[in-house]
Amino acid sequence: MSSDHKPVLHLVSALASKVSDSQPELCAQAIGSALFGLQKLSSDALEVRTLIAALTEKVETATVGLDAQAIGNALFGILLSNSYSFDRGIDASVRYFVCV
Amino acid sequence: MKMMGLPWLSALVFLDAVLLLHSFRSVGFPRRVSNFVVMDALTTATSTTGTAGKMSPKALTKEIVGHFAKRTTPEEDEKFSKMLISKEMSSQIDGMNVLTLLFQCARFKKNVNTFIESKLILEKLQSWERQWNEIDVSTFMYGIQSLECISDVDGLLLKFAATKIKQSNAELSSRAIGNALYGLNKITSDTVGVPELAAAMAEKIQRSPSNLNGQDIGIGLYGMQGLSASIAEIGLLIEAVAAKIEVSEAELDGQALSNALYGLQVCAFSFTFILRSALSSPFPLEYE
Repeated sequence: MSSDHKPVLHLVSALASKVSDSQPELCAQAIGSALFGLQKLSSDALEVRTLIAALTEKVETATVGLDAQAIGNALFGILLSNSYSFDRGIDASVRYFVCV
Repeated sequence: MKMMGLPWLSALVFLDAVLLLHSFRSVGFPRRVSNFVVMDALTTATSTTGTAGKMSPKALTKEIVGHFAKRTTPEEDEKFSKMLISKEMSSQIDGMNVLTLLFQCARFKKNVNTFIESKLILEKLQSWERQWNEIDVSTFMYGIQSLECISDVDGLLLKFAATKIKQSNAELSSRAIGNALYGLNKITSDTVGVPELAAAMAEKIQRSPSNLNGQDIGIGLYGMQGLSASIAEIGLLIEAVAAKIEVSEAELDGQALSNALYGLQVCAFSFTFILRSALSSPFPLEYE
């Protein structure tokens, strides 16, 4: 789903609220998969930045270490998302992964 | 031998009916294994012999469920297929049997065309003159995973199902929506019949009075991973799901969150796209 489309932005917005309101316990695989899914979203859109900010908060509070697969998936998703170089919200996630 | 008395048989018949219904309601997502263990044990115990002969539709449904409960080998599948397509048996198969077969194949990750051709599936569903209920809709949609969806007949089958779903008055529960959307996880937007199916499901989801729970949000969006909003009908589906998520009061656990966000990707990107994206992006280790 590319974030160029209005329905996708609506969905991303709904998910951003949901992620923000939830208290998930994220395992390594969940972090990797969640970030992998962001690969087609562009942080030019406010909705995407809101989702990334909400997700960043959850990733920062996660206590698990990441295995190679999770790091690969996460970085793959971030790289292709065209988000990490423009959006400060994702910086924390990237720093987290690099530190691991 | 005492157990073979009439009360025991009645109890088995009742249990079987309940379990068949239950098996459709608890579509095979990995975390719901316990339902299947119970069902497998009982359906194995109540399964008939598998010989081709006069069989009621219900007995045939039980036969199909029983076959898959045995974790069969390809040879056994071939034997079962021959039984299903035999002249006397294929004339007895009805729409419910076909839906059961689609569902079971999807559950056990088998190609339904190993057993019967899509043409026969389409014919049986076309001649099954009844309005699809909630279970029929979610069972068919979940069963799409067992179709390759590359032939013209598969396209016709999806279009036919879209018509039936549109005509249906059924209201879909959260579980039915989740399972139905999960069934789309192997197909992409360019598959023939998918736009029609998406439009039909969008309408159903809009009309559903149910509140989506976290797990169903997760598996539903996971199922939509190959769908692109560049197609108008799929845009409608995404809008409908977004509206449902917006009003849902459910929280997402780790698994649901991961499944939901994973579903935002488009699985059908090209190698050129990956290469171009990777080459045009600065290396992430610039961050320190």
